[in-house]
Parts: sequence; structure tokens; C-alpha cells
Amino acid sequence: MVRYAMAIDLTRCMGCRACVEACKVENNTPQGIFWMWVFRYEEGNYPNSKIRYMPRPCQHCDNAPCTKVCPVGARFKREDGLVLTDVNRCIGCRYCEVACPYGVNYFNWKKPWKNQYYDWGEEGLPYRNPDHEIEYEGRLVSGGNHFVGVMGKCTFCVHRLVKGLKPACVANCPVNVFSFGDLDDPNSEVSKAIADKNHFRLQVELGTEPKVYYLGAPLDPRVLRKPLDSTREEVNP
Amino acid sequence: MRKLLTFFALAILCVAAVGIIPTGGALKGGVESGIQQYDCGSSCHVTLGGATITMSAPSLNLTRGQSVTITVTVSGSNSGPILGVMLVSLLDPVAASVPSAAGWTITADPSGSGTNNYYEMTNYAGDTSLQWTLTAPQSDGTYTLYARVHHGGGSEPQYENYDLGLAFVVGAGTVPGAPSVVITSPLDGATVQDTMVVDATIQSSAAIAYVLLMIDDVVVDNKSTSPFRWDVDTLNYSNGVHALNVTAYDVDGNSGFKNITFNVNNVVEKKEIPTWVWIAAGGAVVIVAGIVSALFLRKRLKAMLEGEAKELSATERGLLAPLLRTKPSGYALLVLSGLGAALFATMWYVQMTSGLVVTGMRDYGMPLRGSPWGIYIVNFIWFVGIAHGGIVMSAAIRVIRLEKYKPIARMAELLTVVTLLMAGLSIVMDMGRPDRLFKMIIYYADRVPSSPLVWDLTVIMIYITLSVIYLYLLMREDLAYLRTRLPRFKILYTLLLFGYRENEKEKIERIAWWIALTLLVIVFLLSGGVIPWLFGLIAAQAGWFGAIQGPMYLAAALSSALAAIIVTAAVMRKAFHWEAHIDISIFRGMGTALSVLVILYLWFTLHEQLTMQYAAPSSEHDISDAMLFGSYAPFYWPVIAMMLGTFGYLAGSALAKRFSLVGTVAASAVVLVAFWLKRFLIVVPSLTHPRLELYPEGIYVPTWVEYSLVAGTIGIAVFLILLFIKLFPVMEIKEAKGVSNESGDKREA
Repeated sequence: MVRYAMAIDLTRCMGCRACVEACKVENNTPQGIFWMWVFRYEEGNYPNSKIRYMPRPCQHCDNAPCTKVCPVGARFKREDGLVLTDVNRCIGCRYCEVACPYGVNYFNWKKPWKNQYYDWGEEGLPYRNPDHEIEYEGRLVSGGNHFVGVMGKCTFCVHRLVKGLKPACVANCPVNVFSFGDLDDPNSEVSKAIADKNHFRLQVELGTEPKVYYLGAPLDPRVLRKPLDSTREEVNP
Repeated sequence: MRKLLTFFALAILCVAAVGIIPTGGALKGGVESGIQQYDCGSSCHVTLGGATITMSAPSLNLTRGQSVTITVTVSGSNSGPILGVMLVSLLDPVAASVPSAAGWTITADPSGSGTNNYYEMTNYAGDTSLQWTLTAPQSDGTYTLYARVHHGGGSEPQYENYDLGLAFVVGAGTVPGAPSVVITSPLDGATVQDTMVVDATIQSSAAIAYVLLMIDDVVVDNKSTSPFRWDVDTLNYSNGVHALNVTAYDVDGNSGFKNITFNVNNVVEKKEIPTWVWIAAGGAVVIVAGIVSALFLRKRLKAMLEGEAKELSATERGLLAPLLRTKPSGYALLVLSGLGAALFATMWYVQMTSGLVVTGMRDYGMPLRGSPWGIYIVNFIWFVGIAHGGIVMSAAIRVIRLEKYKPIARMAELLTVVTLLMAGLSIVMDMGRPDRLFKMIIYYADRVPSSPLVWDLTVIMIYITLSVIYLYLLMREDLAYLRTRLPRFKILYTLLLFGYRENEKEKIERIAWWIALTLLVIVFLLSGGVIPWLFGLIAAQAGWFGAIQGPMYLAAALSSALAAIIVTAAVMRKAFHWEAHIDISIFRGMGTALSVLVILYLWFTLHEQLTMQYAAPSSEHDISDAMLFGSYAPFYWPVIAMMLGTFGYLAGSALAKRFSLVGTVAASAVVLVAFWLKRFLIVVPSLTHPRLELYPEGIYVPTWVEYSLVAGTIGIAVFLILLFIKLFPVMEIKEAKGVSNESGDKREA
């Protein structure tokens, strides 16, 4: 059985956010929803400061707190390591979002098929990725464009993995920040990346066992709560 | 003399130099780069040329790749040196102005031997005709070519004269047998309204591949089979002139098209009526209908609300006051709470149709930076607190035989049932998909081991079941007594008294005692357990995780429940003149108990804040800072002041043995508000200060939809309480009788 994991090389990331864009296009996520996000923050104090970037997909934890709290089992972990949301079952209580220490959950606050930055009306988008209409392992988990009032989050592009493709963020990074693959295979891209370089994972002290490894120096505690992106974007009803 | 000779020599050299520059420095148009070349030095442009230039071609309609010969004629007086003529597709002197950039291919230029877009004129004399042969571009469209003279001039630009150009249409159906399009409707320039019928007739020797309908250069539809007829909704277009194009392509790749214009003139612009108009209109209709039906049904309504009663003593009539008569203030409260329920319904409709986007809640991840839970959850905890405390009061009265407090026992039970319903409603209105609520039951067995939310569902179910049974069982005796005495409720009471026996009282007392004991025991695991565990087990949110949550929630639940009972009992006592039945010492006792619970809660708060401030992880510290000194301080300190103030007042009046009912009720109301706000300070600051501190501080501002729904739950709660006291005796008739007449017997037993 594969055990999917991702390694993100922070020393390579230049903050272009191509991964963010690729994710939005691939998964048809609505306005204000970013399953992939790149933090931009300043490290150090003036004049010895520099800008650092940190891509943040879902961490696909092995001991995922979101799956534990879900009252209906809509959030679940597959054997291959993916943590997914069954949008046919989700009741929209947002407990998974509250229980997640990484902030990767995005709720469909309004009709997702209507608002892709441009209001397409009730008829919806002129194009929807047909891969998202397919059920994987018997459950509707792929894509971000199904129902109002349900939860969604990064799926590691489950619909691409079944075709043997890598997630959209990985495939679209211009500087090869991401390594993706099977953690159980010592020759996989991600296993090699972790073996070669120093790495850390976010908030391991919570016992979540995240499956996203960051290569490079850990976060400097002084950057915390001082990110550059402090503006809040508003979603129009 | 030597100096003079030197001067002449230099002068000759200068003249020679001037003579050399025009031949050596001038670049004829396009000679070097193939584009319109600016740089010809300055010396060649002595005087302005006066030549005119014209172009002609045998046909302006071309098919793709068709060869065409263009004749350029230069004529007229010319006083300056013409250096060359060039053929361009743009007048701007940029690289893309060569015809090949637009798709043309030059097969022959005027020199007869090259394929350049310019022709250098070394010997201009009189009118000159030049010919280029070109091949048309390989895609359909309109292509313009210009001819231009490069001549001497004083300053830039040096390309003064040019022809207005020839516009070639490529793919215009000049191939024999190519599709031809005739639009029979609408007529060119026609004025249209509402639905416009576009009807085109296509003639073609080859089979038609597809036909495009374009309006204002936007493809509206394509069809591959006849009839080529479309219904176009002109309401999608602004009033005014629009361009319409029908283009037909045959299987050989040939095409034909027709362009016409049409004028949209829709008289009435479609306007969407804003939601608030619908809400206002709906509210007005409900109010008018209510008033009209109340006027028509006045007598029946009066009979229903104030029906006859038989064989009742004066004391019993007093206790049954709510069932026997209704004061105007009662009607007013009924209407007010009914309006609250109507507000709830309309606003929930708005929320369900638009999604939860109408609330102030947002995802806590970037970039929305909100709080995924808001005042709905606050409302839930508040109501659950009141509910659990209410039934515990009633149970305690029964189990430890607090005979003095017995008159308010049923009120406490009623409050529990109603507020539990409102707590459940608060969760339902927070859900994105309440229509899928049943899934919690379907997957119950699967999820109950791990989801605290399922534990909450269990708790509410257990509590509502036990409370309703408890309330109902203990009311049976009174219902049996009143069945004959209140004729209008006979059917209802008889139905409820299914299986009633005269001597069942003893058995019911025993069942009720055990239920009461169960409630007393499990309240520590429920109100002091699963409700705080909903938050206390979530390690992801700083400020929630920890063991003190249980005792804190229990203290808060009992405080707000006691306060709610004090307010309810005092209001009913005043409204129905029950001063003789509900002794004032009851309020004094409850007030003193409330002061102890409030100071207990403040003591827990001190523990909590001190831990967060002193040595906690920075994420915890941030939350404490936000509450004590930051954006939540304007709520935090008033809450603390309200709690301290009520404690001071209640404890002070207990110690000084000076008691004021109004003061106690006011203090209780303040406690209710304070604990609602305190629950807000539990839920929201943690969510707006995520543990992953790369997120900036979030913002949560509730919207009017949220306030309306919360106010609506209170309206519904009041409405349900009014409904109950209009249908059932809220004071225990038999018990009250027993107090006065059979107290001696009871003591012996």
C-alpha cells in the first residue's frame, strides 16, 4: 500500500504562488477559498531581515483531529494516507475546521458553483472538470465545486493520483519546491528529499503526525503573529 | 598667407565631407532591417517630398492563400529625393508592421527578383507604377495593407505620404460553391424587443460543417444541422445597436458570413426586487392577517384563552390564573414573541437560500481570517447551561426534599424543556446542511466513540427525554384533577392521561425520584462534561484545551440557570399575583446561591487567566492578551465587572439581611447577559487567534442575520413558555393544596 507524503523545500520557494493558482484552477474552488496557500512572512529584525515563504496544503495527518471529531464520518482517512471529505455526507457543522490546527479547511459559505470571482449565475461555470463528478473508492471527494454548506479542503488531487499524475501544485511549481510520492518506497522522490535534507513538520507536538515535510530551517519564533498578509479579504454574498 | 591656405584647405575638406554623407549615411526605407527604418541620418532630408501615392488591387475579397497583385502608383510633384516605397500592414514603425507579420507572403516585389516589402528607388522620374504579388493569409479576417513613401524630409517622421490602404477580406466566400448566408430575420437595422428570432438561410455546394451565431463578436451558439434558427433573449443585451454575425463553414473549410445590425429597444427593464422588500411585505401580510383573524375569531379566542372553570376554590383559581384569564400585557407579549419567531423564520430562510455567507462567520485559514463558529454556538452553550441547571434545580428539590422551593419546581422543568429545544435549534441553525441532520443518527454507532459533537447529541437527547418524562409524570395528578373542572381542555387532558389510575401517585413519585437522582448524578458528566469537552478536548485551539473547562462550564451553567429561574419565577409571580404561593424567601435563597456560583466562576476565571498569562505557550498568551488588553477587552472587562457587581450586590444583601426582589431580579438579568457574553469570549477569541501563529489575528463581527436568529430563539422560547402556561397548570395544584391542608398528614408519613 502506498503512503502518500509531500516534501516542501522552503529554501527553494520564491513565493510566486503558482501552486495556489494551479490548485484553484484544477479543483474549481470558489471565491475566497484557497486549499493551497503560501504564507509570506518576514524573518529577523531590520536591517537583518528577509522574506520567507511557506506553502500550506492540507497536512494529511496520520492522526488527523478532523476525522476524529466529525459527527457523521464525512471526513475520513484512506489507507493510502489521504484525508478526504465526503461532500455527499457532510452536514456542515465545521467541527473539523475548529479541530484542525493548520487552518486548511474551507467551508462553502455560499453557492460554490455560482461564484468563481465572476458571478456566473445559477447555470454555473461554463466548464467544470469532469473528474470531480466521479466517485473515488465509492465516495464523492474530489474537487471544490459541489454543494453550498459543506466543507472542503486539499485532496492531494485524488483525481490526478488515480491517473498516475502528481497533484496540481507539485506539477505546476516552476522551481521544483515540491516532492511528492510514496513514503514507504525508499527510492521515491519524497523519501529521497527527506533523507537528504534537514526537515521539520508543523505542530508535531499535537501528535497529529502530519504527512507534509518542510525542508529547511524551522520557523523562527520571532516571525509569529507578524505575517505580511494581514488583510482580510471579504466574500460578497 | 599660410593661414589663408590652411583655411581654404579645411573649407574644401568640409564641403567634400558634406557631399559624402548623403550617399554614405542614408538608409533607404527598410533596406537594413526590413521594417520601416527611422535612421537615415539627417542630411538626406533636405526638403519635403510632394508625391502622392495610390494603391489598387483587382479584388478585395480573397480566399485563404489566394495570390493577389497590388499596384502602387507614385505621382505628382516631387521636390525632394524619394528613397523608396514600402508595403506595410501597420502604419506604426514597429517590427510587426511588415506584411509577413500579418500572415501575408510576398512572392514578388517590383524589382522582379526579390521578395522584399520595400523597393529602393534610385532613379525617380515622373509617375512610377510598382507591383507586388502576395499570397493571402491562411486564416479568415480583414487585413489592411498600406503603401508608404520614404523620402527626404526636414524632421521625423520621414514617412509623410501614404495611401489610405486597401482592406482585404479573406475567406469571404469568393470560392465558387462556398457557403453563402442570407439572414431573413431580423432585417438589417431592425428594432427588436424581448425574444428576437434569428433565421438564416445557408446555401452551399459542400455539406455544412457548422454555423456560428455571434452577437457583438461573442459566439452565442453554434449549430451543425438545419434549421439555422435561434431565439435570442434580447433582455440579455443593453438597449441600443448591436452587431450580429452568422458565419457558415462547410466541410472543405470554406466559409461565408453575413453581418447585420439590430437595435434592442426593451420598454421595461427587468429589476430584481431586493430581499428586504419581500421580508417587509411578508411581515406586513402576517401582521395584517393576524390582526384580521384575531378580530374575526375574537370570541372563540377569548373562550379558548379564558374558558369556564367549575368547582374550584379561590386558592385554586389563583393558582390557575394563567388558564383562566389573559391580560392585555399577556397578549402584547404573545404578539412580541410571535414576531420574534416570525423574524427567526424569515432570517433563516434568507440564510438557507444564500448560504452561511450572510453571517459574519468565515474560515479561519487565509485569506478570509474569520471565526468558523460564532454567536450560534455561543447561544447553544448558553441555552444548554440554562437547561441543565433548570432540571437539576427541580431534581434537587425532589431528592433532598427542599419543600420550600417546590412551587417553582415545575417552572424550572418547563424552562429546561424549552431551553433544550432552543439549544438544539441553535446547533441546527449553525449547520450548513440541516437537511442532512438525520445522518447523525444513521452514522451514530460509527461516530459515537470519537466525536464530542455526537456526545452532545446524546446528552441533549437523554436530557430532553428525561425532562419531558419528569415534567409529564409529575403533572398527571393535576391534569386528572382539572380534567372535569376545565371543560375546554377535557379532550387534551384525557389524551395525555392515557392509562391513568387513581392510585398511581405512589408509583409515579418513585419513578420521579429515581429520574431526579439520575439527573443529579449525570449533570456532572453532561453540563460539566460533554459540553465543555466539545471545546476542552480540541488541542488545535489555544485557550480551549485543558481540564478546568469542566468545572467552569458547570459553574456557568448553574449560575445562568439559577438566574433564569429567578427572572421567570419573579415575572410570573408578579403577573399572576402569586405572592402568597411563591414566598419571597425562595428568591432570597436562590439569590444567595447565585452569588456563591458567580464568585466560584470568577475564581475559575482567575486560575485560567493567570495560567495563560504566566507561563503558557505564546498562542495561549496571545489569547489572554487579546481578552485582557486587546480587541476583546471592551467585552471582557464589562463581563468581569457585571459578575463582580452582581456578586457584590447579592452577597452584600445576604450578609446585611436586607433583601430587595427587584434588585435580585435585576442582578439575575445581568448575570444572564454576562454569561452569554462570557461564552462569546470562550468561543471566538480562540478561533481568531489560531495556534499556528503564521495566521494574523482574525475578525468576527456578527451580522444582523445572526442577531435576528439569536433574538428569534429567545422569542420562540418565550412563545413556547406562554403556550405551555395557557394549556397546562404551571403551579402544582395538588401540592399547593397539600401544603395548606394536609401538612400534618405528610409529616407523619
